[in-house]
Amino acid sequence: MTSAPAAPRRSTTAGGLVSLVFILVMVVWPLVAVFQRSLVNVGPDRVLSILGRDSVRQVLLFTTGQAVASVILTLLVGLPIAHALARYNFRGRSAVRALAVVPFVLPTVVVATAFSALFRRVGVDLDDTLTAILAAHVFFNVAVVIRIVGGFWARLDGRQVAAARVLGASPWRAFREVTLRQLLPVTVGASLLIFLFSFTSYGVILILGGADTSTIETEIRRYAIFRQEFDVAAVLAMVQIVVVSLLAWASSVFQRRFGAATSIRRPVAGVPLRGFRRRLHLGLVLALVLLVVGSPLLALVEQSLRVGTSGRGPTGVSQASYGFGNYMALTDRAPVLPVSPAEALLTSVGFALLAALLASVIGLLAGRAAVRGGRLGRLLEFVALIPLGVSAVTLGFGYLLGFTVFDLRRSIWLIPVAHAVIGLPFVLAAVVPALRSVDDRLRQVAATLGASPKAVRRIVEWPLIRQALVSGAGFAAAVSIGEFGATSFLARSDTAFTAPLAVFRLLSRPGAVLRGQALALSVIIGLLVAVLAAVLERRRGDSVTLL
Amino acid sequence: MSFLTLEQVTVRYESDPVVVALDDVSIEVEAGEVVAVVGPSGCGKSTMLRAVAGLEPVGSGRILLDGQDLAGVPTHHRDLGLMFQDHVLFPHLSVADNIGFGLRMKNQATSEQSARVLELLDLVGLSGFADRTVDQLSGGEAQRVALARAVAPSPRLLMLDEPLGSLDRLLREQLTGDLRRLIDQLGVTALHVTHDQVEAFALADRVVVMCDGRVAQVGSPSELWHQPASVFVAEFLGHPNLWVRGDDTLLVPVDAVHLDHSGSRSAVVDLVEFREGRFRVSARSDDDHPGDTVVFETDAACVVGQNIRFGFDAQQTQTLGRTVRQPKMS
Repeated sequence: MTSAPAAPRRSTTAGGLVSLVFILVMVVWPLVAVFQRSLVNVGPDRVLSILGRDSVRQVLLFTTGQAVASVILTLLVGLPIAHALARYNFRGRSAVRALAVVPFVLPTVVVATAFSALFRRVGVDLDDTLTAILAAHVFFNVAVVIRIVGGFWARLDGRQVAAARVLGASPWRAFREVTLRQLLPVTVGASLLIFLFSFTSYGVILILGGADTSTIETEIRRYAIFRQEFDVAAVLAMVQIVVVSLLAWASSVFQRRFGAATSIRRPVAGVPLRGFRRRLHLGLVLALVLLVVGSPLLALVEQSLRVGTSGRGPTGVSQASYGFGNYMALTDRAPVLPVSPAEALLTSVGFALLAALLASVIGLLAGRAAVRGGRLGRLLEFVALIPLGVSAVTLGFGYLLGFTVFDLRRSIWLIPVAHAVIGLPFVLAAVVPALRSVDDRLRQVAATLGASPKAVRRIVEWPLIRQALVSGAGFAAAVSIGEFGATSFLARSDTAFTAPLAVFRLLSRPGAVLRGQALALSVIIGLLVAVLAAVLERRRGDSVTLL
Repeated sequence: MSFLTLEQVTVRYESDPVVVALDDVSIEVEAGEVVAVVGPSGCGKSTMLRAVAGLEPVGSGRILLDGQDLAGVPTHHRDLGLMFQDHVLFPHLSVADNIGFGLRMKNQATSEQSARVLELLDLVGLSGFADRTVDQLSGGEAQRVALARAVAPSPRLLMLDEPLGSLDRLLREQLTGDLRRLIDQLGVTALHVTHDQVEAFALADRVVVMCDGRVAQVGSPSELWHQPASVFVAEFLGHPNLWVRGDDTLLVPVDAVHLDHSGSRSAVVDLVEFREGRFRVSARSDDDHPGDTVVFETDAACVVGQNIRFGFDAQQTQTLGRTVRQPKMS
């Protein structure tokens, strides 16, 4: 009748239940609201007739088409880069790899602003075109190819190719039958992920696509916010949820099935950079990285520093002068914004801190219960994945539908909570492996030495998972600072006006002053997020969050 | 009354209640005694340790330590020391902080803590290691730190779970001696779980042999060796010559067998090993009792395939009960 393990069990269960309730209310309920609205209130017949509308069909088609195009283009650009980075040994390789991955953590509004700045700098009029959207998607997702495919490529056992060559395979045949064969599954997995990101792209489409381009995400916004046709928006959101969860599921299956199965070793040293052909090859690839990833970022910074009246037309480059004027202007009240850009930035930082805190608490409670197993643990492990299958826009819309009581949906607090939900997978991805790696016998030894369950957590468990938790919380904060999709649905009062919303609003109105502020604000948001991500990556070593 | 008493303790796993991990086990350990629990993996020996530590809920029966019924006493109030196979040191703490962990839990004064830590470091031969991190230790050093950590708070009972299992043989033999000397020096009562009967015999005053969640036999090493209670115990302790005769089994000690040209039995040699100065010969009988395994030691070299004749000292043999083990009740 020993009851010793009961005490920590009870508190773990209680914590697990708290996190379960949170996820049920903040994630599952909004989704239920979307389904209820479209299946019960609208009814299957009208759902079909809505989906049959020409305008809706066109949106579905365009959304899918641009996502497929994004995947193909990203692979065309990303695979050569991944190959060269995996193959050659050169000074600065890790720096290039880090640079290539930067876009992935950047907020969508920042990226969209960067491309708009690039077009202006180069003097091409690509605003409001499909080309602009695809370019931005490639920019974002090249990181996925480099991380997933390139990371795998670099660790492929080179001796396999050697073995194939010795057995009589030509270099090309060895590459095809040994290397390519093993790369295929991870490439498919990466493609699924890229498709998912492009399919749910929102900020990029809104800013770079212009008024005539619409995807499911932007249509949900248009129907819900401007036309107040919640029925149509709910049907679109339902389609989105189904597609996204299927894709998320498929990509996780792919990653799990094939990510680790093929023979992987520690990073292979790589080929030394000798001879003209190799140098030329690498040079071309680095130029490609600079073109795809570097140029929008450089253009963003350059344009943000440009002051004066010259920034009006594509040809007005000649009178340029540089300075920090746009940055100084951030504290000025812009007529189109309810608050100054600087105040919006402060709001964002505040939300980010709250969201990170909330996500860490919930993540820790859920993670503990999940690691312990049992029915509650398994349930939590499943429901905690749900946020991955929901786009930010559907979540925001779900809140509008689901939290009508007491007019909760107008509450400013809903924004940091939504951000916490979006950041929760990052926290779990960091905390759960850390919790798993704490040997249960460490807790047992501590208990026999007189440590109470509380003391065990404080003295033994906490120091071992602290770093992972901080890292997960940091990523949650980074996501929150740049979050645009859910926020655009929920920000109803001036106090809730975040920096990404400010960038969007500033960019969507004409005027050099507003544009300058948008550029400067984008640079600051981007820097904040990139520095945060870089610091966290360094601390964590080589681990990859959710990628 | 004994210092540690297990009274008809039964443990079932939560995950699989059909499996009886410990089946009606009763054991007594006197104060200052070192008792080893041995048995093949899955026999319940580690479960017993975990039940005493309060890490495994007890289904029925009682565990008494120094007169106190441990039911309802949480692990951290039981005042025990536990040492695991692969040391399980706290990776984020220094050597000194690992050893001082239990003292800190008792809120001992800092000066007393550091004095005790130094004393123990000295005792286990690791003076000067106080500020090292755990990953700077070799396997043997880590094991010594784990022992120091377990005994630092002067536990009522020291429990060792395969304490030397992860070390290589030479180091293990050396540490076995060290461990026994340390336990004697500390005068602590110890319960030692291992699958290695050599280690158990070297360390323990008394040995409990377990099989399928039950106690198969309890006794001093020499009692067990010379009078195993069953075929299982004899086999487990490593007696090779167990000859089936009807329902019974005849145990013939290795040193009761000798080469003899006029011996009553014959066999064919199938393995010859050179061990500690003598040949250890394994043969298979081909006479009226074909198939008996015969192992003996000799100074004369034998060759595999050679036909030999041998005799044995019938007085040293014993008859063990039925070979069929009692079916397990659950």
